[in-house]
Amino acid sequence: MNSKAVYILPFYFSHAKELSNNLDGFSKDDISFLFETLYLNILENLIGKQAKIDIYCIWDENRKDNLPDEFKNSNYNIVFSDVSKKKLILERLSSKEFLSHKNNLIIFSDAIDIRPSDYEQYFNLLNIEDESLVIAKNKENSIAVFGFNNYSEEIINNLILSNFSYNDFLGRVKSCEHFMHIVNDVLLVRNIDNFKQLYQELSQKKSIEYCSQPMHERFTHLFVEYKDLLK
Amino acid sequence: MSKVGIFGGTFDPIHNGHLITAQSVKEIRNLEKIIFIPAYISPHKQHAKASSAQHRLNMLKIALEDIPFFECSDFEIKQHTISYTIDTLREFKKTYDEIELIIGYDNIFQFHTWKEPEEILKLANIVVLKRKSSHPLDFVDKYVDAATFVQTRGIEISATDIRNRVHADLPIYYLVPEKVLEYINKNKLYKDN
Repeated sequence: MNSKAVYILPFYFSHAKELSNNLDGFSKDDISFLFETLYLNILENLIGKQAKIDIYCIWDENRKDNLPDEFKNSNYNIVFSDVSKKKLILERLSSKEFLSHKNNLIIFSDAIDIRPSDYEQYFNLLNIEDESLVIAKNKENSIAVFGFNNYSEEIINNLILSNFSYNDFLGRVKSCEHFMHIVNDVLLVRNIDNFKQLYQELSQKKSIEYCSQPMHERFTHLFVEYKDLLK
Repeated sequence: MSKVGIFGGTFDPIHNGHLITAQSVKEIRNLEKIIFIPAYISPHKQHAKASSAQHRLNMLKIALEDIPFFECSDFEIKQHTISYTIDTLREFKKTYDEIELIIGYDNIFQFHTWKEPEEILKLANIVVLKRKSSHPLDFVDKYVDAATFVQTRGIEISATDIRNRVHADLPIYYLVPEKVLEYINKNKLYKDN
């Protein structure tokens, strides 16, 4: 077991209905394909480039049979859970994994534009004796990445209560002793505007730093299919 | 939409603790900038002897001049009267959509004694600076409840201590920006009690 761990929380399963409204016009299969690609993209950036990190992929316990082949890799720990309740997932991780790693990083699976060097930066910020948090949010102030060292029940409880809303979380942690590092915003793909932004981001050459050519091709399939929505 | 922080105080003198703390708040609260506003006379320190307003303002200006996201304002100093936060907020609200008022940890427990605290809450979000060494919450009233607490680095630098050290001919290197140190020496500040 390593001292660092990353947990990838699937936004897709827990918000399927909301996403189908927010991504009006997308077929059910393509929504699934979009979120699978985003999830795999995170894994691709973590694996191989980030040694000595335990990776935990959270997956819906009711969709065990739908686990893509790419996840069946000994480098990951698959955690099957009732993903409709983030509270249950975090409570479960609090009972074991959070305690057995000094530095923990929770990432939503629909996050894009996190480079391998960003993970290194997050862990560097956590790798000190003093209690620290690393938070990346999106433009709408939803927490996309939440890192912490020295597990604190209070922090995790407040994260659960805030439902990953950055402002709500800050309003709750009145006696928190963790120093916060707020790093660059991250794009979470949760609606048509985010999808358009994803297209703009991936159109830039520098996107290759966090999205490989095969991943680009998967996204391009969607951009072609839904080109009318990109106008 | 512009969101700025307002950091009031006596700043006698501005020191590195103020600057490090403000930098953290800027980052955590995602502020466009922080405006330091030295009080002409603080309502809470009416009988305390302070350096001239001009010296305090000058030291702020030279401490902040190279930092793009910090500014200082002479608004309260130009009023030549007791500086009430509510009056300052009303003025700055004319320019900025969203204001975060940055106050010290102990201030939040005195907040109900401030002039027009309810109105302050309507004009600004209160950001309370907290340190690891801060005592637990004294009590939770509606003002504490509404405030956002921000954990800052444990930089224990005190302006009183700086003044006392200068008065005692002790060095204050690393406690204040170098240019502020030069200003204090050049103007022989804090030599007399």
